[in-house]
Amino acid sequence: MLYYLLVLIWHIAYACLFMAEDVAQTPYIAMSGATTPTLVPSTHNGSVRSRMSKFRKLFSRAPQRQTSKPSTSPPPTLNTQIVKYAAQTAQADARGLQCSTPVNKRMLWAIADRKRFIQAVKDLKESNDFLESALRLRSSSDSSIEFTTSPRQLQSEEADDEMQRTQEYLRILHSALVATNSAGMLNFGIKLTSDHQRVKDDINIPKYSFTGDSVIFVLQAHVTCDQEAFSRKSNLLIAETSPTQSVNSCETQQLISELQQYIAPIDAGAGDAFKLLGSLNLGSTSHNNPIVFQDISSGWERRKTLLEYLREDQFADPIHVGQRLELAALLAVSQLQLVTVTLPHRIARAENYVYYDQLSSGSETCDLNILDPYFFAGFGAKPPKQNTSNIGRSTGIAGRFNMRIVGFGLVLYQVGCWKALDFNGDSQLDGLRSVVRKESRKEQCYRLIGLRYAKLVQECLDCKVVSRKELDFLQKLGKSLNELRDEFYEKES
Amino acid sequence: MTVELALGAVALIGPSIKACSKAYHMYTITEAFGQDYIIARRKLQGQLARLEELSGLQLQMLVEVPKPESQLSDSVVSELGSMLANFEVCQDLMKKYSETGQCYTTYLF
Repeated sequence: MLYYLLVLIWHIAYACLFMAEDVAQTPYIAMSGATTPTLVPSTHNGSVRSRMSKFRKLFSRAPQRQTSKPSTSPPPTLNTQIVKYAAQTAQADARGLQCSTPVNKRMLWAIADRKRFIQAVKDLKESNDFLESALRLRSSSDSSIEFTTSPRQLQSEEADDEMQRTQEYLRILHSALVATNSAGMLNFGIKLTSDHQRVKDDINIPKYSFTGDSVIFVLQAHVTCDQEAFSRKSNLLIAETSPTQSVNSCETQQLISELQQYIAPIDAGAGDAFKLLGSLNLGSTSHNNPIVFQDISSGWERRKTLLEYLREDQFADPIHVGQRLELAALLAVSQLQLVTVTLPHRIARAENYVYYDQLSSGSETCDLNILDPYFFAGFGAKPPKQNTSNIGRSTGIAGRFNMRIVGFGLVLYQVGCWKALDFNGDSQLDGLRSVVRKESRKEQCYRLIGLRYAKLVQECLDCKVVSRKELDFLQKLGKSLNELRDEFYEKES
Repeated sequence: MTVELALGAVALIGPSIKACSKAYHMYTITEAFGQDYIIARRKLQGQLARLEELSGLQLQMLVEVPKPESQLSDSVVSELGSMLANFEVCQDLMKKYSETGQCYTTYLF
C-alpha cells in the first residue's frame, strides 16, 4: 500500500513538474482553474510563480552566477595550460548546458536517453576495437596493408632494411662528395632507381668485383660554369659505398683531392670502360670511404629536363599512362632515399630531373624513355646559405605546410596531368599550391590516371607533417604509388 | 497479528526504499545533466576520432575489394553498418539536446 502511495506521489510530482515547466516557459499564461489556459497579467500569477520556484528549488539547482567567466581569448600555447583551459571550458559548458536545458529534457535524459547514448558509445567502442583487430589480422597476412600504431613503431618494425641501408649509404656518399667538392666546382646528379641491386648486376667493371653488401650509385658530374648551372656535357661516375671498404689509397687520395680535373676531359676510345678514380676520404677514422669509377668509354650529353618533357605533348597520350605512373612511383621512392641527404634544404622541382644520352649512341632510340632521370638537388654540395633577413619573420602559409612535400606534390601533379607548371622561385609555391589544389579537384585532370592518384597528390599538397615524420609520409606515398602502378599493369595484362 | 503486521510493513518498506533510491538516482542524474552529457559526448568524439584514424585507405582495402574466400570483409561491412546505426542514434540524441539542434556526426557518412 505504502509502495503504491509513494509511486503515486512520484507521478504527481512529475506531472506538476511538467506543468510548472510549461508555465515557466510562458510566464504570461497561467492555469486559472479552467480547462483552457487564459491570459492573465503577470502580477496576478504570484501563486503560480511561487509554486514554480518551489519546484525549481526541488528539482533543479538555481542558476549560479559565474564568478569567473571562461576566457574568450585563444588558448595559451603551453601544454599544461591548454589542458587547464580545456577543463575550464568543459566546466563552463556543463554549467551553461545545465542552466539552459529545460527540466523535462533533463528528466528525459535521466530516464531513457542517457542509457541509450552510453550504450551506443559502448557499441561504437567495441566496433572500433573489432576493426582495429581486423586490420591487424589482415596486415599480418597481406604485406600491402600497413598498420601503424605509432610512427616510431613503423620506423623500427616495418621500414624496409634495404631502404634504410640505401639512405645511410647515400648519406655517406653525400658527405664524402661534399668533403671532396669543398670548392663547389662540381654538380652531381644521382640516377634514380628503385633497385640498386639490379644496377650493381648490370655494371661490369673489368678486374674489379663489388663487395657483397655494398650499394652502387650512378652519378652524372658537371663542372659548374659561370653562365650555366651545369654544362651540357658531363661524366658518368659509379660510386660504390660499403661499410668496410679499404683501398690502397696512396695514389687515389691524390687523384680524388682534385676530382674536378678528371671530370672534364672525356677519354673516348680508351680500352676499358671504367677507370678507378679512387676513394673519397671521409676522414682518418672512417673506414667506409666510397670508391668512385669514371665511365671513360663515352661522353654523356644532357638531353632534356622533366620540365621540358612536360611542355611537350609526347607523353600526354593515354598509351603512356603506365610510364607516367611508373615515373611517379620512381620519383617517390627516390625522394624517400634522398630525404636524409638533399631535401632538408631543397624543394624538388620538375627542372631538377635531368635526362642524358650517351654521345656515341643516337638520341633517337632512347628519346621516349622517361624512366631514367638523374636528380640534381644539391647532392654532393654544401647547402646554400640561408637569407638571414628572413630570420625571426613570420613564415605564413609556408610555415604551416611542409613545403618540401608540397613541392614534391606539385611534381606529382605535373606528372599525373602531364602539364608544366612554370614558376620562378620557392616564394611562389604558396600561391601555386592553392591554385593547383583547386585545379586538382577536377576529375578531368586525372581522367586517365585515376582518382586514387588525385587523392595522393591532394595529401601531398595538404601535408603538414613535421620533418621527423617526413620519412613515414614518403614511405606511405611510395607504397601507394607502387600499388597503383602494379594494379595498372595487372589490368593491362 | 502484530508480528504479521510488522512483517507486512517490512515487506512494503523494502520495495519502497528501492523505488525511493531509484527516484533519487534519477534526480541526481537530472541534476548532473550538464556534466554527464558532456562526458558522453566526449566519449563519442573519441570513438569518432578512432574511426577516422582507421578509415581511409586501410578500411577501403578491406571493404571495397572483398575477397570471396575471406569472411573478414563481410564482418567488417556488417560492423560498419552497426556503427552507422549507432552513430545515427547518437546523432539524433545530440540533435535533441543541443541548443541549436546541430548534429556532429553526419559528416562521417
